[in-house]
Amino acid sequence: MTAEFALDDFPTGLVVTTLEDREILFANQYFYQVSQQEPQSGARIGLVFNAASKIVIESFVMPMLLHQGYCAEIQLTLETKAAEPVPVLVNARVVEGERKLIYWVISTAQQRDSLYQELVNLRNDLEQRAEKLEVLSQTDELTGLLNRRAFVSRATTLIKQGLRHKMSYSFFMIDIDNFKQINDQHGHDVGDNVLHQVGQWLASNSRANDILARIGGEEFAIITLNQNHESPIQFAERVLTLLRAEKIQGIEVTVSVGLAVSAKASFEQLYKGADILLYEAKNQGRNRLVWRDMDKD
Amino acid sequence: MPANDDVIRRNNVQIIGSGQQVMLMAHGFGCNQLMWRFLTPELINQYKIVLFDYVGSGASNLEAYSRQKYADLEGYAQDIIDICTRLDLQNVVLVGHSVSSIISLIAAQHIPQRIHSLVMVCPSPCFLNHPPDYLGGFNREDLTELIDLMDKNYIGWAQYLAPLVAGNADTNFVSNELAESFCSTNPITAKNFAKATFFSDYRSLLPLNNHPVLLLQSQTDALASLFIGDYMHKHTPKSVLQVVEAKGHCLHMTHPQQVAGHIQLFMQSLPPGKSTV
Repeated sequence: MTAEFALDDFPTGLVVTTLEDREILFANQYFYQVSQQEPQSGARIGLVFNAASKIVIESFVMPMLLHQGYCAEIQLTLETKAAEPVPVLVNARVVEGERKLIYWVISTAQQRDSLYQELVNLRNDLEQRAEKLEVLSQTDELTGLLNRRAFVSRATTLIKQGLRHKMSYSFFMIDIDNFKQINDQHGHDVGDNVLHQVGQWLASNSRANDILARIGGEEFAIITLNQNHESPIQFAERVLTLLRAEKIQGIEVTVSVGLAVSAKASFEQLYKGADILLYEAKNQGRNRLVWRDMDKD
Repeated sequence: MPANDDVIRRNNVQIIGSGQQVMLMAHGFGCNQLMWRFLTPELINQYKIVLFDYVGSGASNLEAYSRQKYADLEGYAQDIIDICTRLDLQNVVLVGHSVSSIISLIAAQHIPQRIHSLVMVCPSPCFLNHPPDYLGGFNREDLTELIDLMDKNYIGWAQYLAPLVAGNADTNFVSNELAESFCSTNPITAKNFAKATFFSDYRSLLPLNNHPVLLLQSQTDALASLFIGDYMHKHTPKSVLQVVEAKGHCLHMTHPQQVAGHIQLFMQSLPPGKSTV
């Protein structure tokens, strides 16, 4: 039966190696043809693959063969003497007889490789788009800061984590004074510019780990972890002083700040607290800070 | 940091054996804790063996996976630190395969008081060539090609693509497919591990070692050449180098008896551990 049908005629590479050294004991013609190798005594099968494939063999193929006795449909690359490397699909299994051997089937897979390359590109493209959408869905278009939704989500997580470690947080609610008048007197374009610049200014004056967002029309919020070098009150006063000193779009812009500080309050409690304090700052005549340590009541 | 109770489930921690001294075995890139099953029978009578899967491998809890955390070997080292801390392990012998040798070294430097010694099976501190002084074995192009090959060997396309197309890339990105397969080339977890492993360079960490180290080197290893074994030995204080009469990168799977023998001799040469779990 076998004498009639030659293994050399199979249009696929057939190889038998030892398990331990992976020394080639038998290989059909097709294997030598595709790998552009000459039969050589003592040659090891690893030599026909490129460097990346060697990592895949050592990290996936061999552990699978040793653990479960087979591996299927692993794509590897033959390093040939010609310029173009040849993608191949490898199936292998361990056969235990007098000595442990590996039977390999190595099929060329150029077309499958092209298809996979297209799929990889498609997936990378989708991944990039998803990332862009993710960023867009979290960003306030006008100022480039986080939007309210992203702020609530990130701040909630941060404070939940912080509470476990007894961290103290400051919640600043910052509202531009008389913003409606700015819009009415100077137009919406100027109003938008004022919002943009106040946002930029807050961004450049807050720290990398602060969470800063535009959470409403002319309302900004910042959550910061209280650390030693600058108290939240100092920070708020600095914001007020610097803004008073600077004209934006030729207009004198001031803000009111409600500041709630706590190492116990949840995000919702801080938010509500800062909102009430901001309201008090407005009632007391605007352009000022009203703050409260919520843990001292 | 995870809540204490989470670590055991998160890392699929398994404890076997009844010995006095604790041996924690860390699998390498590509597989999971099952790769230790050939070696553990050789050591189970003398040691209490702690096995685990890194988050993102094997039957770990994939909800705990973070691309950012596990983009560096420090993230994987934190898994070892968390397990040692959670179980309050003392005098631990850390056994790491391949990249886990370096991960163990990082962990040992964070919790030196808990560590007795390190056993490194086929280690390499850096897979990239930095000629003329250091030949890690691979060029940057080889490793870029590796990432490409891993993409083409990924089986669970559908599970991965579906949430991505739905604009839900963050959540539930990995299915249980990982738990069921011994090796995984999942495009997020395995590729991230590949990048952390093969593009890193931890040579500068070796001289900082302060624990006894056994280096087990294979005669012929496509991933860790004899040069690398020598390099590790020269630059790691308190290290002993043993070249095992064998070929391949998985000595603990192919030659468990020899590996266990070298570990026993190494342990006999050191003062014994004082306490247990």
